[in-house]
Amino acid sequence: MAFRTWCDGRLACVVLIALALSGCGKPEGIREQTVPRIESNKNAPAVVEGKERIIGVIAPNATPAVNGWFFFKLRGPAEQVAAQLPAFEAWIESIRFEARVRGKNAEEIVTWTTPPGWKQEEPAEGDPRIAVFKFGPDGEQLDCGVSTARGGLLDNVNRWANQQLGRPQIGAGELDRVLQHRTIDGRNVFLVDLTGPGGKGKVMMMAPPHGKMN
Amino acid sequence: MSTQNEFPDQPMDGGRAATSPSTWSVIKTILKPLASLQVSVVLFAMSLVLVFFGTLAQMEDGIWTVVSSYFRTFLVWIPFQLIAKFGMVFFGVSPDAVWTGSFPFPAGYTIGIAMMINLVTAHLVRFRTTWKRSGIILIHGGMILMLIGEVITGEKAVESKMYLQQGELSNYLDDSRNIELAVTWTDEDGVGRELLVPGAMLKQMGSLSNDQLPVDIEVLEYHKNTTFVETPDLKDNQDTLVFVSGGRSAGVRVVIVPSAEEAGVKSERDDAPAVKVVLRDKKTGDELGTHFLSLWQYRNYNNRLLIGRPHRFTADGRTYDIELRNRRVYKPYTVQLDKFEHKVYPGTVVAKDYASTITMIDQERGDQREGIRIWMNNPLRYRGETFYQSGVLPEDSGTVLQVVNNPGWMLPYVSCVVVTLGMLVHFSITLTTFLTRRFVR
Repeated sequence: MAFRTWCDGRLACVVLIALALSGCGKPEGIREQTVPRIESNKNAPAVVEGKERIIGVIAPNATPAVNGWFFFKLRGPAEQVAAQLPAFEAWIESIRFEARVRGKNAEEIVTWTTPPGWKQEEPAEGDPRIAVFKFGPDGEQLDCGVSTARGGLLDNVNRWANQQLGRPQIGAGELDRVLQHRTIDGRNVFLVDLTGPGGKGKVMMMAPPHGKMN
Repeated sequence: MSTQNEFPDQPMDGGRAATSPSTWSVIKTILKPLASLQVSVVLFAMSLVLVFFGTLAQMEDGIWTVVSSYFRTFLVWIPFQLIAKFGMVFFGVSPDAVWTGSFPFPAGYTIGIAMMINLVTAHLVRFRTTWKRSGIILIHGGMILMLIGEVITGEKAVESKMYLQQGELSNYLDDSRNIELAVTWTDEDGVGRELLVPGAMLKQMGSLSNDQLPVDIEVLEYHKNTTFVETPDLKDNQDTLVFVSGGRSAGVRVVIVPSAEEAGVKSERDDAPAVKVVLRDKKTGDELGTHFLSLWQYRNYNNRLLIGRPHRFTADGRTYDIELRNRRVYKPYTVQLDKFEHKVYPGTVVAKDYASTITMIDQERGDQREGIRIWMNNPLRYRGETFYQSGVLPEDSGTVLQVVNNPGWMLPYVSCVVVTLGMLVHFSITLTTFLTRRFVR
């Protein structure tokens, strides 16, 4: 009986003290921490290197009810693409986004300045791109053009990475690492620069052409 | 030796009889009011009132705001407007009625602790500790365990989320209920470093000047919740976000604006707080930039639907990123999502099953386990945490796992078993006594 009383009393005290202490704690202040390295999967496939390169800008299309993206892409053998990088930079920096009203419908069009040494041409019949560019003898294998399309950003990046460069599909979780942020004419755009062994897939886009040459 | 109790109004407790009767009498006199059955009834009535007003409060406030204001605290100020709103629905009170003011009421912790004291003292003072009451004792013991479990859960449990898209690796959890302002950079050795200002400090607004911070931070505005609206401007600012997926939303550009708190009765998401901060050089006080940072800009909060330009500043020749995000807890393991399955009932879009197959890479233990499947009602228990299949990222691109660390997780189960056992024991004893008397008659 003495034991029972002892238990009852001690239990009550423990319960009350535990409750009283349960709310105690210091407020958290500013803390510093090191970001631990993410361990890679030992069984992950090896990274694919390649001889073909795509560099391009993907910009949101602000045409109401259409939206989607504008694509400014340069593709070809890696060394030929590298030779055109200064001109490519000048080209994308010259991009301008304009609002036009066709009848009752507002739409957005893009304009640019063709860099010296590039020749803008009308796309071939069946090619849904807005504009295509040709190069001199040093750039015969280069393919460059402007187009629009809808769909998710990842799907479109994988069109370049997987279909055209032959790389493994880029996972949604890797998209942040693939995209570089730029600002062109006040618009937040994404720069994508990828290499791969080269793919067999063709670009298929359904959007009608917009745009104009300077 | 007589077995009758010479003091019929006192329990037959040899232990207490061993204590000096005057000492025990004093203790009993002090505890008797606390053990009163009338007090028990009043406390139960108060708990009903508290639950009633806590439910009404969720018409306007978020569920976790109500939990922390009404239940996990000691005192709550209940607005009279809640009574007006109840009257608008049931008693024809004018929809324009505004009843200002509020009244104090004991909150969850106060009522819970009072109930606990009442129950424990009742056992000490009123109840007779006999085998016939063993069922009651078990039932009450189970209820005490349940109350203790709730306090432990409320104070110590951490619910976090892990977002993974197909193939993605992650080694951190997002604490859904807390935010932090993160200043991040990469040091000379290529190691990522972070300075974190907790949300509680941001709520107070004002200047944050600390030796650890590379700049002084002045919090000009704090918004408990924000939402986004499509921007008509062709030009973006630093806060413009763009939808990267989501069907026809892909390419739509939006800006963040303050909004009301998500109400508990209709909330589909957690609140997205935002702050407006001015960064100043520590030495000169020159302004280095003004940033409007919302949780919408955090990739995990927006389910990877939105991307915006990173917020950056330079101080002392080093470039830093700054963002508002859920409080991040790094783990000694990495999780990779290998496969995500989303099954729907045939002919519908109603979810039938979600399942995630993951690889667990434990760098601390040097162990890698593949093919671990987590699906609805079948969580993974690992290192004291429980991983539940919680949600899905848009277009089935990935999974959201809820990770719970609750040291008191076992207590509700144990208390239910104890209460059930107590009820069975009490019922058995009562039945046996009844049958015995009947048989004797």
